[in-house]
Amino acid sequence: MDRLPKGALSPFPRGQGCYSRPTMELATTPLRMPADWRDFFALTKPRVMTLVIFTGLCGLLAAPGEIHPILAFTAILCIAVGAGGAAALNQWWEADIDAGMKRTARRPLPSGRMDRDSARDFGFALSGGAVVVMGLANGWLAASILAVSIFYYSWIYTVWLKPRTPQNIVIGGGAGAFPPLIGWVAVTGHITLMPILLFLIIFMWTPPHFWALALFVKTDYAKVGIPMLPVVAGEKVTRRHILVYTLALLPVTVAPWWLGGTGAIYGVAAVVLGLGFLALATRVGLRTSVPDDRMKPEKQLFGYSILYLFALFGALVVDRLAAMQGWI
Amino acid sequence: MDADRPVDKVLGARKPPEAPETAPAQAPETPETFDLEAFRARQKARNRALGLLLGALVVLFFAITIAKLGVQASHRS
Repeated sequence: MDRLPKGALSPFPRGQGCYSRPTMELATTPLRMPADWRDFFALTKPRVMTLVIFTGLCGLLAAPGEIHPILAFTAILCIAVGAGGAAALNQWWEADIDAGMKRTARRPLPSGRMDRDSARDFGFALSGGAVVVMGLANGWLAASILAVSIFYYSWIYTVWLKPRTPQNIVIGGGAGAFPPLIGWVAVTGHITLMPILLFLIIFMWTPPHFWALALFVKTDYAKVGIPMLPVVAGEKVTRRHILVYTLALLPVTVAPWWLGGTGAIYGVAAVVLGLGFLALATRVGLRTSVPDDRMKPEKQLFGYSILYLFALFGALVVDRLAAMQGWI
Repeated sequence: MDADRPVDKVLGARKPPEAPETAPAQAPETPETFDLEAFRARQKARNRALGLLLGALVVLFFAITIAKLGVQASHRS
């Protein structure tokens, strides 16, 4: 290991390092390794971002009308970057909570690979940049919805709801529901019933998806004092809620077909995929865990719920493309 | 993220896998463990990533401008 030689220029900005006072500051100022660019990338929650990009892209492709490919690319890029910015702000705020949870303890902030100010600045820069670029390229209505979605996730959900109420994920589910709405509005320039239904699908899908996860990481949430439903109301209530919300989700997913917004491809996919979701949710909803339970049905439901959303929105795009080709 | 990156081995910046739950939110490095060469390498990598990002933004703004001009021209005609 090399030591910074006495009198050498400090890597710190003027006033914080040894530019003006070479020897004194060297002895007292702790030197910090700047975060790696890969840690900044990890801060954007790339795995969550794939679902955001996919649903945003589906909203964009399913919308009636035309959009220049470069502007379409820009819209998706801004949705992704905005989501990344919101994720960075979320991790900046929750660094202490993340440190106490096994699932999140290795993130850049709790593991000490990045300082909090860098995460905060990065989050604000990404969020602001995404909104401005989207406004210039895709119109200010789409940009405004993007701004609302970032605010919704990083403030309403992260700061306000999550530490206060076991209904955090129900109301907070709106944060992840915006991408298809933004994608749609980027093409059409206005809000109609169809993009609102797409918003509602993700809004209703989020609680059973997240509560399935919360059931098998319950102890983690309890440890850091987050009032997730299984922690506050217990497993039985959570299981019943999963079942009820899944039952409420199914008509919402079929509504675009009923109302004539999509064709039979989407309608059949929504029914078949929904029945699969309901079967798994019923198994989770009616069972009781035993000591040292491996929570296999809950893990299966969580995995299936991700696949479900990908497949449902994929069917929406296939349906739209088939209609454009005159196949249905 | 690749936990076995050579630079992390040199720095010891990452916590060992078995200890993350008790890891402090910020673990400042002391002058005794500071590796100037690795610091400069890290800065260089970050600068390169930032340079690429700025270059990509220039290309993106140019492409958006051309696309918007094309859309406006097609609307007029």
